Amino acid sequence: MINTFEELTSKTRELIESRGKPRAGIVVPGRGKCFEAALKAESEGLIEPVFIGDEPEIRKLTTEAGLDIGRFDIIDCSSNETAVREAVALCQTGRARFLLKGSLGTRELVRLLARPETEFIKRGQVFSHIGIVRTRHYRPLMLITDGAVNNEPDAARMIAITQNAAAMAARLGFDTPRAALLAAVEAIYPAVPVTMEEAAIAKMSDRGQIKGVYIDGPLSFDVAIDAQVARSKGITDSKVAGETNIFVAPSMETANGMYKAMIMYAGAAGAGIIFGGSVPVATTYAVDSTENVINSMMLAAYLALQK
Amino acid sequence: MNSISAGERITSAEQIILAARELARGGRKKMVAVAGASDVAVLGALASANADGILDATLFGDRDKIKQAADGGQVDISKFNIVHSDNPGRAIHDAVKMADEGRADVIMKGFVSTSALLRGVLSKEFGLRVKETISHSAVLDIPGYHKLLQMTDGGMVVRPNREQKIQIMENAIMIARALHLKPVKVAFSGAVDGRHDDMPQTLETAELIETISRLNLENVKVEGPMTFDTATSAEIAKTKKVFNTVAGDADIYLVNTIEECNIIAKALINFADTVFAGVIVGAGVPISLVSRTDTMTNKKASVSVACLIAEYYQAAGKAGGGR
Repeated sequence: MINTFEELTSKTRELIESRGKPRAGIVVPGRGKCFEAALKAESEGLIEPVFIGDEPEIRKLTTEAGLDIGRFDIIDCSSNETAVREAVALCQTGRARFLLKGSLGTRELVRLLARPETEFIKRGQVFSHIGIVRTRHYRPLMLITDGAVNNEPDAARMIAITQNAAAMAARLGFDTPRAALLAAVEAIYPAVPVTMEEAAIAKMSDRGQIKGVYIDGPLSFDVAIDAQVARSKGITDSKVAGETNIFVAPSMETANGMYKAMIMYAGAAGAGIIFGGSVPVATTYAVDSTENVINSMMLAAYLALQK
Repeated sequence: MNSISAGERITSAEQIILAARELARGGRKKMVAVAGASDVAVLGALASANADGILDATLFGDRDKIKQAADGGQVDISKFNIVHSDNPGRAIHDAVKMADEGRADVIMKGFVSTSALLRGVLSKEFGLRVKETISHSAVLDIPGYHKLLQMTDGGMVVRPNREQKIQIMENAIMIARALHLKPVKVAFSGAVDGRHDDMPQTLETAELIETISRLNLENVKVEGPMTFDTATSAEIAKTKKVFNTVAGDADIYLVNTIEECNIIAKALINFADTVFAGVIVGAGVPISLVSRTDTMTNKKASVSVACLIAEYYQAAGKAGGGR
């Protein structure tokens, strides 16, 4: 089980040594942390970047960075739309193993990825965003979902995003990951629809309808992270309370705010992935440091190379 | 910083507590009526706040149980008056009555259910029901943020509609006024910044903000929808090209659902050393809420902020209902 980003990076390095450096499609690089992180990861021998976007602009950026442009592949695309399509095509033909979101907005990227003609997702598959946080206050990695793709998930969607996170957690070596469906309270109230929906999903889990993951909910955040608080609130037979790996938020704002609160104010390290498509997409927010962007790439690389 | 002058802008939990003490020193010490006082966490907070010269308290509930709770936690309650009652309903009734008659300035929730307490406060028997919407505000002192951030509503209104959001905002603005903030900067939450046609919630929020700006609230700036990072970091706001006077400098973060507020606030409290003062506003007197899991600083900050709100109501002659 991977518990830290250091462990993740060293495991990814092992995979790189045995299977070769992964080619990474950098989608619309733009100026900023993503570009810096891609160059840094390249210089450390972790990835081989392919820049997808406006070629003159990319040439300008690499020249500014004092780099020989001849070292990198560039796929010239005049619009973000073509860039995303080309990026996915690159992966489908095996010429890139994962993608990194550059300067285009998450919202736009998601919209372009979701287009059927992009063929990023298989029919019936759901893709979702998973934020990964490591804080000194909590031992395992925290997987937070969904802060960027699925807005206001209904019960079916909530199950799907939980399963996506569970699938990713399993790939990181979590033995039956534990998912908390978060709410403001642990009690189930007919007047609070979120608690009813989450309780129903937890019941489905109890009855074995959802495999490969323990699910409990509704759970408040403090119950999810602290076994003692859970006991004091009478939650004694939960496989999740106090040991949560996956934090499933009832709304996009919640997951988004949680992740950012942890990065900005809790000194946490982070990473972000759009999971469930044909390749992993490393996706970061403006709050993320260059280190976090590299963490995201290492996670995407690990998931891609492990297959 | 160990002093604060009257009327000075309050920017930290420590200053909340200091300002409440200054208020008491200036002859405006507040009386707290505790409903169901047999709660050691509540008694501990009150005894400590009383020793600091912040407040006086009257304890309502079963006399023996109150004494037992105090003894069990080694809390000295000799400075407080106890009004015995046989059952929680009676304790609530008597505490609320004391506030209604103007003999108490703040109500504090002890070992009674929140819903029973609110039913008591809002009962037609008393004149404390001054507003349609009662809301909970988490006044947060987040290390790394340059001012206090109020997040609301993570405790009362499950999924506020337009009108409720306006009232929650007004309630929060009153707290901001009690903290002497001028102007008051309100950020409405969103999963993304700005309006997006494919996200109806963002359009509703943008429209609501337009409505609010037509109210011409004095010294209030309202913007949104915006994400948590945009609301609390000027640097991020600049990176994202969100240019307005609220972004990066929000006093109030007004969210869309109870879960959003509750979960993000708890993440900050548990993992980011955030001091949290919880208070219910919208009734004729502020209601202080603390829980066993709160630290002593949280508890003192909660009751102190309630004292400051009570002072604001009294000074402005608002009794909780004004804008």
